Amino acid sequence: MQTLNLAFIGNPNCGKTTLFNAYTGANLKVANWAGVTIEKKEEYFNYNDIEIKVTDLPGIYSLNSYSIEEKVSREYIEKGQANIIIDIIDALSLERNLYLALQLIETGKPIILALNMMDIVKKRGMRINIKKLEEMLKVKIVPISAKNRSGLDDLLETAIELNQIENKNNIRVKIDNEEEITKKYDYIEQIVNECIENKKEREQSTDKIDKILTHKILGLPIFILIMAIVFLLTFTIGDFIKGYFELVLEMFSDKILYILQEIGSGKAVTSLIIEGIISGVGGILTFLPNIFILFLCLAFLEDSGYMARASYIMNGIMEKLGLSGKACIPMILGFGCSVPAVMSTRTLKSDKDRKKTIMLIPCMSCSAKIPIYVLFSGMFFGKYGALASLSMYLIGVLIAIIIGIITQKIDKKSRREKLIVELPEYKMPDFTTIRKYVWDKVKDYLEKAGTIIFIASIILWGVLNIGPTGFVENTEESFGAIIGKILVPILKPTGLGYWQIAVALISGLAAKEVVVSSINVLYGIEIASKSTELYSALNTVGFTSLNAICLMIFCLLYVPCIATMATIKNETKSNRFTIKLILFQMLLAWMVTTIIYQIFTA
Amino acid sequence: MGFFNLSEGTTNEKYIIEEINTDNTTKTRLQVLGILRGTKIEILNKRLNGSIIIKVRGTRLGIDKEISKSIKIRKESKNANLKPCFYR
Repeated sequence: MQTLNLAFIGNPNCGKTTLFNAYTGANLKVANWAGVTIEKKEEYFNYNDIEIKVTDLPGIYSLNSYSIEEKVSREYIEKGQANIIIDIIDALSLERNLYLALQLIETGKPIILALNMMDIVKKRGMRINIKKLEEMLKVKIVPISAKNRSGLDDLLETAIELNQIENKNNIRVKIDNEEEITKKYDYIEQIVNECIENKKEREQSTDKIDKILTHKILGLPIFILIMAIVFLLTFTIGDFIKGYFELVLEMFSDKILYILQEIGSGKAVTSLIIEGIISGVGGILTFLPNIFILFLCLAFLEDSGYMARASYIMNGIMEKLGLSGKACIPMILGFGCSVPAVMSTRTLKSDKDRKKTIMLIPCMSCSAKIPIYVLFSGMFFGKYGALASLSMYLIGVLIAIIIGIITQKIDKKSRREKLIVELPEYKMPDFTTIRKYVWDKVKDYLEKAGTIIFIASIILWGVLNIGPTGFVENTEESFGAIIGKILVPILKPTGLGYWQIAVALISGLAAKEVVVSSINVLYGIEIASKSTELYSALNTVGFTSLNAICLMIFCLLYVPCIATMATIKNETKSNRFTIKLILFQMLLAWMVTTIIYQIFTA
Repeated sequence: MGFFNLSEGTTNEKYIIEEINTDNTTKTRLQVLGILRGTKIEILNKRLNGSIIIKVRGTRLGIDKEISKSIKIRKESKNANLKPCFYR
């Protein structure tokens, strides 16, 4: 069976990924800001006994290859095995989208224009003369709506038909100079004049919303307020629901303990299951409500179209850090998870901007740090817990700003990328998109609890219950204690000079949540949700609220998890940068906590 | 007729681009978005730090101070027929 290779290309935010997902049933992320797709994705599916391979290329405005995305797309068009290029066009921004289309048509490669968003075009009473458009451009055009899944079969039929006639490979893309660009746009103006009837002014609502959200004075306070509300919801509502999760976990743990005792299982097995696994993994699961709410909020920000505005509003501040406003999006995503945040820095064109943004991303507390904040804030600050957790976010941002300003002072001649950002129309967030987004994140979290955290909990239990003498009664004699005690002198000035904390911090490299499950296991807390038990255990060794703050700040700043480090290495393709960054962060965490601890104990 | 910088324009006014004086990469980035000599633009929003939102060819773009200072514009005069009136 022969495979038909289709390449999806188009301007950023034109609905390529929605179309890709509609065909393949894939679950790729969609959002309402330019640059969500950062690398090409491939998927196979069958249509009427024909195997079809689609490649989703990153969104680009031209093939002039000035950014990474343009290079990826251009190389694929030139050398890739695509039989047919499908250029997806946002029919609402026909004028801008046609430039890329003209460039593609010029290559001579078989191409079909998929005119997307036709449902909205109709709703607005706009009319596009498709026949005329086909005549003027001399290509096949298929009207579709990726969101409503209409015209999808038509598009495939057209592609199959076209494939039987034409076939052309190894083409070269011509890079346009100013004159050629002007010529193309002149022609586009003519096309638009002749093919579009009743072109309405764009929806006025976006302009109205922008009058407030990007207001010259209120814009920034509104942005800060929105972010504050996101975290406030995460910690207040999240903590409230978490209470019920804890009750369920407690009941579950009691039940298992009862069953284990009934069947008369050995002491070691009971300890492994109750203290190792349930306490470690179950403890982490109770934080699911916080994680859920945070990602729900981020999904809203991304899908509504506000994200692009954030880079516009924050541009002034980011300039002071020597960065473009665009660096703001990766940093906001960093509040969710550092891995996609680091990957999204690809939208920044200069290598220097990218590395600097990557350096600052870990200061944006990722969701894995939430369990640490919630647990320790709750134990040591009671009803001010949410406030204590929130302050961690502020401290992180503050430190990022300080680092940014300092590096800017050192490297004055750094050339920041100039900001040109497309501001999409606002839209009511789409339920399916939000559900997919949040479910993906919740699934990741559950998977992490079932894999990394599960394994880490078992290893930890082993390390703490086995020592040089074999199975030990007292954890003080375990291998874990031996390793932890080596680090105690180093951690002493930071207020974290406890071998248990040292072990927890090391295990946190696997994933930040593991710090919490480790501490539960380390202090032999049978029921993870009973933080009062942990509180008294910590209290008896002289661990006060100051130590708790130092621990939270240390976790905020020290080396991110293994997954993030691997992503940074992959993205920067530099071992040196990655190692330097790791050393820098360890030093930073140590210095900041030492300063705080020493000031408040002096 | 007076030319002035885009950064000096007024919100909700329409202008015509006369000249773009910036580095080549930025210039190309603007050009492929259809920001060319003779293109009509409308200023939608201005911030205190000089960044600006313009509407060009049906698209909203946020651009920073440096760029808005490098684009020379003139008022769109009602009867001018230097360029045919595009749809808007």
